Amino acid sequence: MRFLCLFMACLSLSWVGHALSPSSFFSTTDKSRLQGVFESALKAGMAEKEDFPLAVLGLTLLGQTVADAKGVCQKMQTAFTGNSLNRLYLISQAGQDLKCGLKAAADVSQTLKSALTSSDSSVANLFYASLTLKALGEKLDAAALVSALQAGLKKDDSVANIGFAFQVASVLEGKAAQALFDRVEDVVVQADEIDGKMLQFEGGVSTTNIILSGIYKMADKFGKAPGISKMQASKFANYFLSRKSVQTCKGGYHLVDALTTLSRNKYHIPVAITLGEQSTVVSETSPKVQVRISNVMGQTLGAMSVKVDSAMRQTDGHTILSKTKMAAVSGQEGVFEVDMMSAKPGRGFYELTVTATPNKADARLAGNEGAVLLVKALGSVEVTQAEIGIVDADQGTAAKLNPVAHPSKSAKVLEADHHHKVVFKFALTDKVSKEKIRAHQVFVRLAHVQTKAEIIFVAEPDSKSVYKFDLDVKSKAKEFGGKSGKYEIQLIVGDAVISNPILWSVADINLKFQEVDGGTEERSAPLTGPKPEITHLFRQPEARPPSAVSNLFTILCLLPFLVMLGLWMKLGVNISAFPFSLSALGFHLGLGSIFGLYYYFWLQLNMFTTVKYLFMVGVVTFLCGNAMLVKIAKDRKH
Amino acid sequence: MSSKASLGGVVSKFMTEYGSNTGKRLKIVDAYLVFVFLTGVMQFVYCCLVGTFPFNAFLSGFISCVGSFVLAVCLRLQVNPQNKSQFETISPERAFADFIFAHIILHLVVMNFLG
Repeated sequence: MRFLCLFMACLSLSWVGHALSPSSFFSTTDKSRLQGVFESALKAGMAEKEDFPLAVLGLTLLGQTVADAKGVCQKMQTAFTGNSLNRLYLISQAGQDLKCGLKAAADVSQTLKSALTSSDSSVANLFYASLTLKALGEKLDAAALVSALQAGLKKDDSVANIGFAFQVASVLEGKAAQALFDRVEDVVVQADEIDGKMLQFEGGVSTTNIILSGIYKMADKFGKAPGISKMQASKFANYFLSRKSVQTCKGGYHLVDALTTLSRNKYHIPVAITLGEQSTVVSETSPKVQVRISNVMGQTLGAMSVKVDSAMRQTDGHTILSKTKMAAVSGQEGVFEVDMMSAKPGRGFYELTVTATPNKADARLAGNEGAVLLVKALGSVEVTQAEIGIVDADQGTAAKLNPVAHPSKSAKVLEADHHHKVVFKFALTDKVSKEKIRAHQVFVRLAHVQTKAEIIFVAEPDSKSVYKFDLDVKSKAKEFGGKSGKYEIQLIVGDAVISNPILWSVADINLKFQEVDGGTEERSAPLTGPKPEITHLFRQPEARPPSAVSNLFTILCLLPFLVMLGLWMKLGVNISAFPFSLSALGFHLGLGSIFGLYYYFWLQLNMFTTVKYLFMVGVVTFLCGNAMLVKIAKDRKH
Repeated sequence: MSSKASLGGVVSKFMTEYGSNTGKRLKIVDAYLVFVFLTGVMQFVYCCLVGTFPFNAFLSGFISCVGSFVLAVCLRLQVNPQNKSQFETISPERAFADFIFAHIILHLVVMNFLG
């Protein structure tokens, strides 16, 4: 159990070690890019924007001289007005860097001083005003300022405000700000961790830098180590390095400021252990891994002894190097190398664990142990035991295959028709170890010599890692579109860890397919073309019976009417009693016209017009019918 | 032999009873009923032999027959003097008016459905 705990502890330590070392640094490329950002902001020349003074500050930090410093100073002096404390602060800092000797107008001084004395000033305003006044050479009342800061923090103790307070505390004279320095540890634990690799404060690069540089400045001032561990320092360094691609003056300035702080302070110097540009891949032609040891700004850290703790293959844990010292590269300070190929690595991705120990002990270095770098070792392969041939599809006869040698093409043109199978066997061997290997991508490509139409098959290895590709001509005819003719057989081998990918024309073959139904020129429809138009289909009328049948049934349906008339006549129905009154006539005419109307409704009218007419005729018919029936009833009673 | 004779006897007796005991008006209505019934049968036979297409035409024709038959039966019930006790308040004229009115409504629907 104890052993297990120990093991877990070691494991987590090694993991943390791997996570911590910055694996990149602020290179000259990054530097010149940011310099470009700053210079273009200066060229824009708008001193009242915050980018202008920030660009001055950034350029000074990068160690560049600002062109036309006098003109810049003049512009800033003109812009040194108004009541934007942020702007006044930035211009005053930039003016201090350029030694402009800015003068504050009376109203500006008034604005700044009232910001300090006002009882409800925010921490940010206190920070801007006090540092501006300090830059102008005014004396600050340390005790009053600290109590104002404490009061402001009581109202709002966000991390950004604490950062501002730290910055103010670092410039105050005396020990008044000691209380603020004691808050460092509380603040650092509020940082957000990303992936266990980085630490940042809410608010991004600028807030994180204001807090971090404030902490280190205070530590310098009080001569005490800040409450930050080496691990945390490395994580902050990782965070800033991950933001190397900032595009704004503000971000750029804070990035450079933070990285400078992390490479120059007295307490923690995170060590960047990075692979040389050409060293992410090793192969027989470039067998050496180069590693660069520097601080986060890419400056060397003095004489070092660097060793590879281990080099382990990611896939199976196979370890090739252990405790191997790396040799310093002459002419390049801080660059070390080791010949990895001499340890005969198999192909694969290796995790190199590197530790850099300074020759003269330096307690400030952080993350210099157990940095993990990923190196790809390439191996070269060759095709062996290759043989190709034609066998009968029913396997009646034993396969007789002709050997072929990479990279030459078989002189014999193979012939195959639908009774045959094409068989191609080969193995891939590592050139160095002579072991059979499996590559990630192994294809057999058949290309029609005339039309260049190609078809690609995957070759699968068997359990002994021998690749066998067979092509049943009859069953695959459809995939070839039944196109007979001369085809070229090519073998394609590719893999991320193979240094010599192979494209080998193995042989030519004449394929004869049986005729495929429906012709061979069947083209697949273009994917992006317009779709066929959709038209509505009405229900197709069913076949009607011959007209003789229809007419017969029409007559049959009318027949019962005649039957009725016949029956009526037999009963002696007559219309002799028809009352020739107006109402009787109206009723019969109305009824007749209603049914006539229905007939027209069937032929052409719609429901609305029909109902309209029906109403008119219906009223007349109703009145007439009523009168007639009343009369009949009266007659019957009498 | 006997069954055939008795069936013939029943039919002939029925016919004579019907001929003598039924009023002329009812006979007219009965003739109408026969006409409607036969028409419906003809349509049904056509449907069985040839097919229902167009279905709505067949349906409306058949419904017209069924509806007319039912209405005629109602008219016959109401004008039958033997049922007078049940339809005290309904005169034959009123029954006929109802019959006409119902026919007009029925055939409006039938025509609409005929398509």
